Amino acid sequence: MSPGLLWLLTGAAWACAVCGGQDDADTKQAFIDTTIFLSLLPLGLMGGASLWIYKRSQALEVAPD
Amino acid sequence: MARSMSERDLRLVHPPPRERKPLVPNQVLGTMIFILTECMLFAGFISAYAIARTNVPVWPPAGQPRLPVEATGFNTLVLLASGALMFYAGKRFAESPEAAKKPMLGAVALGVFFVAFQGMEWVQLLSQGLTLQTSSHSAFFYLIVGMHALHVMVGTLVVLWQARQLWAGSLDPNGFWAGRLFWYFVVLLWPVLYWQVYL
Repeated sequence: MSPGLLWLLTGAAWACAVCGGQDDADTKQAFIDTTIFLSLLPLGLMGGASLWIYKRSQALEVAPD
Repeated sequence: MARSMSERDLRLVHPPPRERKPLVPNQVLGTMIFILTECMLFAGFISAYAIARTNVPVWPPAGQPRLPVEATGFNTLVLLASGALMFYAGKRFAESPEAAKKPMLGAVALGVFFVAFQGMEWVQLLSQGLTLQTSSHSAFFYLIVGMHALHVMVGTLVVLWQARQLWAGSLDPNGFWAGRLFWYFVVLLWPVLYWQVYL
Protein backbone atom coordinates (compact mmCIF):
# COMPACT_ATOMS: atom_id res chain seq x y z
CA MET A 1 0.00 0.00 0.00
CA SER A 2 1.24 3.47 -0.80
CA PRO A 3 2.42 5.25 2.33
CA GLY A 4 0.48 8.26 1.07
CA LEU A 5 -2.76 6.37 1.61
CA LEU A 6 -1.96 5.53 5.22
CA TRP A 7 -3.49 8.77 6.42
CA LEU A 8 -6.90 7.38 5.40
CA LEU A 9 -6.57 4.77 8.13
CA THR A 10 -5.80 7.18 10.94
CA GLY A 11 -8.33 7.79 13.66
CA ALA A 12 -8.79 10.57 16.21
CA ALA A 13 -5.72 11.16 18.32
CA TRP A 14 -6.25 10.52 22.01
CA ALA A 15 -3.48 12.85 23.01
CA CYS A 16 -5.77 15.33 24.74
CA ALA A 17 -7.96 13.78 27.41
CA VAL A 18 -9.98 16.97 27.79
CA CYS A 19 -10.90 17.59 24.17
CA GLY A 20 -10.48 14.73 21.70
CA GLY A 21 -10.55 11.94 24.26
CA GLN A 22 -14.06 12.59 25.50
CA ASP A 23 -16.74 10.03 24.77
CA ASP A 24 -19.39 12.71 24.88
CA ALA A 25 -20.44 13.71 21.36
CA ASP A 26 -21.39 17.25 22.45
CA THR A 27 -17.92 17.89 23.85
CA LYS A 28 -16.28 16.56 20.72
CA GLN A 29 -18.51 18.77 18.59
CA ALA A 30 -17.74 21.79 20.79
CA PHE A 31 -14.05 21.04 20.42
CA ILE A 32 -14.35 20.89 16.62
CA ASP A 33 -16.50 24.05 16.48
CA THR A 34 -14.13 26.08 18.64
CA THR A 35 -11.13 24.81 16.67
CA ILE A 36 -12.74 26.08 13.48
CA PHE A 37 -13.72 29.35 15.22
CA LEU A 38 -10.23 29.97 16.62
CA SER A 39 -8.59 29.06 13.30
CA LEU A 40 -10.76 31.28 11.13
CA LEU A 41 -11.10 34.28 13.45
CA PRO A 42 -7.51 35.61 13.09
CA LEU A 43 -7.65 35.09 9.33
CA GLY A 44 -10.95 36.96 9.17
CA LEU A 45 -9.67 39.78 11.36
CA MET A 46 -6.45 40.20 9.39
CA GLY A 47 -8.32 39.88 6.09
CA GLY A 48 -10.84 42.49 7.21
CA ALA A 49 -8.12 44.88 8.35
CA SER A 50 -6.18 44.40 5.11
CA LEU A 51 -9.29 45.02 3.02
CA TRP A 52 -10.06 48.19 4.99
CA ILE A 53 -6.50 49.48 4.50
CA TYR A 54 -6.64 48.66 0.78
CA LYS A 55 -9.99 50.43 0.35
CA ARG A 56 -8.67 53.41 2.31
CA SER A 57 -5.60 53.62 0.07
CA GLN A 58 -7.86 53.55 -2.99
CA ALA A 59 -10.09 56.26 -1.56
CA LEU A 60 -7.11 58.46 -0.62
CA GLU A 61 -5.70 58.16 -4.15
CA VAL A 62 -8.95 59.50 -5.56
CA ALA A 63 -9.40 62.22 -2.95
CA PRO A 64 -6.27 62.81 -0.81
CA ASP A 65 -6.91 64.25 2.66
CA MET B 1 35.50 80.37 -12.03
CA ALA B 2 32.85 77.93 -11.03
CA ARG B 3 29.99 79.63 -9.27
CA SER B 4 28.97 77.90 -6.03
CA MET B 5 25.44 76.52 -6.16
CA SER B 6 22.85 78.45 -4.24
CA GLU B 7 20.32 76.71 -2.05
CA ARG B 8 17.70 77.31 -4.73
CA ASP B 9 19.86 75.65 -7.39
CA LEU B 10 20.44 72.70 -5.11
CA ARG B 11 16.71 72.29 -4.63
CA LEU B 12 16.23 72.32 -8.39
CA VAL B 13 18.82 69.58 -8.85
CA HIS B 14 17.75 67.52 -5.84
CA PRO B 15 14.13 68.34 -5.02
CA PRO B 16 13.25 67.41 -1.43
CA PRO B 17 11.12 64.25 -1.18
CA ARG B 18 7.40 64.91 -1.20
CA GLU B 19 6.04 64.64 2.31
CA ARG B 20 3.61 61.73 2.47
CA LYS B 21 0.89 61.29 5.01
CA PRO B 22 0.71 57.79 6.46
CA LEU B 23 -2.15 55.71 5.11
CA VAL B 24 -3.26 54.89 8.63
CA PRO B 25 -2.03 57.05 11.55
CA ASN B 26 0.37 55.26 13.89
CA GLN B 27 -1.97 55.57 16.89
CA VAL B 28 -4.83 54.01 14.94
CA LEU B 29 -2.73 51.21 13.47
CA GLY B 30 -1.29 50.37 16.91
CA THR B 31 -4.76 50.31 18.44
CA MET B 32 -6.05 48.10 15.61
CA ILE B 33 -3.26 45.56 16.19
CA PHE B 34 -3.94 45.68 19.93
CA ILE B 35 -7.66 45.09 19.34
CA LEU B 36 -6.89 42.08 17.10
CA THR B 37 -4.89 40.50 19.94
CA GLU B 38 -7.70 41.31 22.38
CA CYS B 39 -10.21 39.63 20.07
CA MET B 40 -8.11 36.46 20.25
CA LEU B 41 -7.94 36.68 24.05
CA PHE B 42 -11.72 36.82 24.37
CA ALA B 43 -12.16 34.22 21.61
CA GLY B 44 -10.01 31.90 23.71
CA PHE B 45 -12.17 32.55 26.79
CA ILE B 46 -15.39 31.96 24.87
CA SER B 47 -14.04 28.75 23.33
CA ALA B 48 -12.93 27.36 26.68
CA TYR B 49 -16.31 28.31 28.15
CA ALA B 50 -18.18 26.63 25.27
CA ILE B 51 -16.28 23.36 25.83
CA ALA B 52 -16.70 23.53 29.62
CA ARG B 53 -20.47 23.93 29.39
CA THR B 54 -20.81 20.74 27.30
CA ASN B 55 -19.01 18.78 30.03
CA VAL B 56 -21.89 19.08 32.49
CA PRO B 57 -25.48 17.89 31.96
CA VAL B 58 -27.16 21.01 33.40
CA TRP B 59 -25.80 24.47 32.64
CA PRO B 60 -25.66 26.67 34.65
CA PRO B 61 -25.21 24.06 37.40
CA ALA B 62 -28.21 23.57 39.67
CA GLY B 63 -28.19 25.02 43.17
CA GLN B 64 -26.29 28.18 42.49
CA PRO B 65 -27.66 31.75 42.29
CA ARG B 66 -29.14 32.78 38.95
CA LEU B 67 -27.37 35.50 37.00
CA PRO B 68 -29.31 38.79 36.76
CA VAL B 69 -30.25 38.44 33.08
CA GLU B 70 -32.82 41.26 32.89
CA ALA B 71 -30.79 43.83 34.84
CA THR B 72 -27.71 43.07 32.78
CA GLY B 73 -29.81 43.34 29.62
CA PHE B 74 -30.64 46.90 30.68
CA ASN B 75 -26.96 47.54 31.42
CA THR B 76 -26.13 46.23 27.92
CA LEU B 77 -28.40 48.89 26.44
CA VAL B 78 -26.62 51.52 28.55
CA LEU B 79 -23.23 50.48 27.16
CA LEU B 80 -24.57 50.42 23.59
CA ALA B 81 -25.94 53.93 24.11
CA SER B 82 -22.48 54.96 25.32
CA GLY B 83 -20.98 53.61 22.08
CA ALA B 84 -23.58 55.49 20.02
CA LEU B 85 -22.75 58.72 21.88
CA MET B 86 -19.04 58.18 21.23
CA PHE B 87 -19.78 57.66 17.53
CA TYR B 88 -21.77 60.90 17.53
CA ALA B 89 -18.91 62.67 19.34
CA GLY B 90 -16.53 61.54 16.59
CA LYS B 91 -18.84 62.91 13.90
CA ARG B 92 -19.21 66.24 15.71
CA PHE B 93 -15.47 66.46 16.38
CA ALA B 94 -14.82 66.44 12.63
CA GLU B 95 -17.04 69.53 12.31
CA SER B 96 -15.88 71.36 15.44
CA PRO B 97 -14.00 70.01 18.47
CA GLU B 98 -16.18 72.18 20.69
CA ALA B 99 -19.30 70.31 19.54
CA ALA B 100 -17.87 66.94 20.64
CA LYS B 101 -17.66 67.86 24.33
CA LYS B 102 -21.20 67.01 25.43
CA PRO B 103 -21.56 63.65 23.63
CA MET B 104 -18.08 62.64 24.82
CA LEU B 105 -18.97 63.40 28.43
CA GLY B 106 -22.23 61.49 27.99
CA ALA B 107 -20.34 58.46 26.68
CA VAL B 108 -17.97 58.53 29.67
CA ALA B 109 -20.85 58.93 32.13
CA LEU B 110 -22.66 55.91 30.68
CA GLY B 111 -19.42 53.89 30.75
CA VAL B 112 -18.94 54.70 34.43
CA PHE B 113 -22.58 53.78 35.09
CA PHE B 114 -22.07 50.42 33.35
CA VAL B 115 -19.07 49.52 35.52
CA ALA B 116 -20.75 50.73 38.73
CA PHE B 117 -23.92 48.78 37.95
CA GLN B 118 -21.90 45.66 37.23
CA GLY B 119 -19.98 46.15 40.48
CA MET B 120 -23.29 46.24 42.37
CA GLU B 121 -24.33 43.00 40.63
CA TRP B 122 -21.11 41.34 41.69
CA VAL B 123 -21.59 42.42 45.31
CA GLN B 124 -25.09 40.94 45.20
CA LEU B 125 -23.90 37.66 43.65
CA LEU B 126 -21.02 37.35 46.13
CA SER B 127 -23.41 37.93 49.02
CA GLN B 128 -25.61 35.12 47.64
CA GLY B 129 -22.59 32.82 47.75
CA LEU B 130 -21.52 32.80 44.10
CA THR B 131 -17.73 32.96 44.22
CA LEU B 132 -14.88 31.95 41.93
CA GLN B 133 -14.77 28.56 43.66
CA THR B 134 -18.49 27.77 43.45
CA SER B 135 -18.34 26.02 40.06
CA SER B 136 -16.59 26.20 36.71
CA HIS B 137 -19.56 28.29 35.54
CA SER B 138 -19.00 30.92 38.22
CA ALA B 139 -15.24 30.87 37.61
CA PHE B 140 -15.77 31.54 33.91
CA PHE B 141 -18.39 34.17 34.72
CA TYR B 142 -16.04 36.19 36.94
CA LEU B 143 -13.10 35.71 34.58
CA ILE B 144 -14.84 36.74 31.36
CA VAL B 145 -17.07 39.48 32.76
CA GLY B 146 -14.27 40.76 35.01
CA MET B 147 -11.81 40.95 32.14
CA HIS B 148 -14.32 42.91 30.09
CA ALA B 149 -15.04 45.25 33.01
CA LEU B 150 -11.29 45.87 33.31
CA HIS B 151 -11.26 46.89 29.66
CA VAL B 152 -14.22 49.24 30.16
CA MET B 153 -12.41 50.84 33.11
CA VAL B 154 -9.23 51.36 31.08
CA GLY B 155 -11.30 52.70 28.17
CA THR B 156 -13.09 55.10 30.50
CA LEU B 157 -9.77 56.41 31.84
CA VAL B 158 -8.48 56.89 28.28
CA VAL B 159 -11.62 58.78 27.23
CA LEU B 160 -11.49 60.89 30.40
CA TRP B 161 -7.87 61.77 29.65
CA GLN B 162 -8.85 62.67 26.09
CA ALA B 163 -11.79 64.75 27.36
CA ARG B 164 -9.30 66.73 29.46
CA GLN B 165 -7.23 67.32 26.32
CA LEU B 166 -10.36 68.33 24.41
CA TRP B 167 -11.17 70.93 27.06
CA ALA B 168 -7.59 72.20 26.89
CA GLY B 169 -7.86 72.40 23.10
CA SER B 170 -4.96 70.01 22.54
CA LEU B 171 -6.74 66.79 21.55
CA ASP B 172 -5.00 65.14 18.60
CA PRO B 173 -7.62 63.94 16.07
CA ASN B 174 -5.69 60.72 15.42
CA GLY B 175 -5.40 59.98 19.13
CA PHE B 176 -9.13 60.57 19.48
CA TRP B 177 -9.73 58.21 16.56
CA ALA B 178 -7.64 55.52 18.30
CA GLY B 179 -9.47 56.09 21.60
CA ARG B 180 -12.84 55.79 19.89
CA LEU B 181 -11.76 52.55 18.20
CA PHE B 182 -10.95 51.01 21.56
CA TRP B 183 -14.27 52.21 22.97
CA TYR B 184 -16.21 50.67 20.05
CA PHE B 185 -14.36 47.41 20.72
CA VAL B 186 -15.39 47.21 24.38
CA VAL B 187 -18.96 48.25 23.53
CA LEU B 188 -19.46 45.80 20.65
CA LEU B 189 -17.77 42.93 22.47
CA TRP B 190 -20.16 43.10 25.41
CA PRO B 191 -23.38 41.88 23.65
CA VAL B 192 -21.42 38.81 22.47
CA LEU B 193 -20.25 38.08 26.03
CA TYR B 194 -23.74 38.73 27.41
CA TRP B 195 -25.23 36.27 24.93
CA GLN B 196 -22.60 33.65 25.73
CA VAL B 197 -22.40 33.98 29.52
CA TYR B 198 -25.85 35.15 30.62
CA LEU B 199 -28.29 33.65 28.08
